Amino acid sequence: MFDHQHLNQLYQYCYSLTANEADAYDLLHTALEKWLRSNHQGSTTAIAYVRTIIRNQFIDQYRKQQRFPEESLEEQNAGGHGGELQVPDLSLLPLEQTIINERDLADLWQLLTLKERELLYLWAVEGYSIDEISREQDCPRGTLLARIHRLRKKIARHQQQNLPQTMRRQDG
Amino acid sequence: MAEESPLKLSVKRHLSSKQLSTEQLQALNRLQQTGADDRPPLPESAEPSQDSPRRRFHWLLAAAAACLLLGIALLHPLLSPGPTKTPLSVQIAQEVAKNHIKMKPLEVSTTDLQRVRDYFSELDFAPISSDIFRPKAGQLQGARYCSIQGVTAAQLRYTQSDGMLQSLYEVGYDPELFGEIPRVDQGEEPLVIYAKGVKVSLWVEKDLLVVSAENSK
Repeated sequence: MFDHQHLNQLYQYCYSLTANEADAYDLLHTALEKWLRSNHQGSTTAIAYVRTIIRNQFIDQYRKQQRFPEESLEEQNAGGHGGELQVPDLSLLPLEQTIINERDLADLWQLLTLKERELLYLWAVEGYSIDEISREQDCPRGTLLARIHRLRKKIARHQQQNLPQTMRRQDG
Repeated sequence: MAEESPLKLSVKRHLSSKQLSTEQLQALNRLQQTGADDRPPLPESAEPSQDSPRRRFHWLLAAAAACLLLGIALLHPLLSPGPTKTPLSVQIAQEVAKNHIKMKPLEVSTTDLQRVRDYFSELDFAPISSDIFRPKAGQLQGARYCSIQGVTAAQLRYTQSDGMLQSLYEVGYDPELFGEIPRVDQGEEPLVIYAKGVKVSLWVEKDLLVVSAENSK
């Protein structure tokens, strides 16, 4: 049985997928029901197992209904149809070096794609490496690197756009 | 130990502000203990079709509940003994309890009260560190704007050592709007009201109406 801390952890993962609190709760509830019906309740990796259920459930229920738009073709092809992008290692370094405050991130969160939000969750909350994320998402490493590159550019662009507003706030 | 990157910290804080409400946690605990599904049924399109007998039952249940509610709504004017005036303090307690239960997302997540004060730049008062609340306050989690009786207020959220959440509301005190509330600066004791299972305490301190809410034990 999951305690409150683990339930909140799973809920935050659901939120990283749905970007909507009500949908996140529904997703978590449905996933827990499935887990309870499964034969994996005694598993030592229950959290990881439920996370997989959540991900599959989300893909099945929500994306098939197109409540959430599909990622762009550019996103799909960014890694070159599964081919590895020729970039140096230390692939998460761009994220490590990105500076953004909490308020700007909260503003930006709704503008991120599903895959970007999930990437941030797995990296920041679960502490996954690029290879672990690649395995978890069943996504080529090159695609992830391209996603990180675009994510960093998106954050920079968002901060640039919000700069005058931030300065006005400070003046006020 | 290496220092965490600013982005990682921001992501962690943003996501950690998303917490299940007390009711949601209780519902999920019940689900885990009994397997009971007391959640309202999902819309038709949200579930696969193989559960249809169970879903039909849910829809029948929902339809019955809707009919019952409609009946009550129609009969209410006939059954009601007439308008009764709820004391302002009780209205405030009910409003605050409802708000506390909802646990809406924090707009600023921080353990620093000064940062909270800086955030509330739109208020026409300065949030205080209450002498009454401080001794029993848990760890500050953050804050958000809210309103009490239509007046913009500050809501601060704390976590106690046992994980229970406390909410503290502050708003400029106006006796005409909020009624007579005990003034602790004059030696009066806070008024305690239980609303929706929430223990709500109200007092006036430093010319602010201060209301705390925590789940009853």
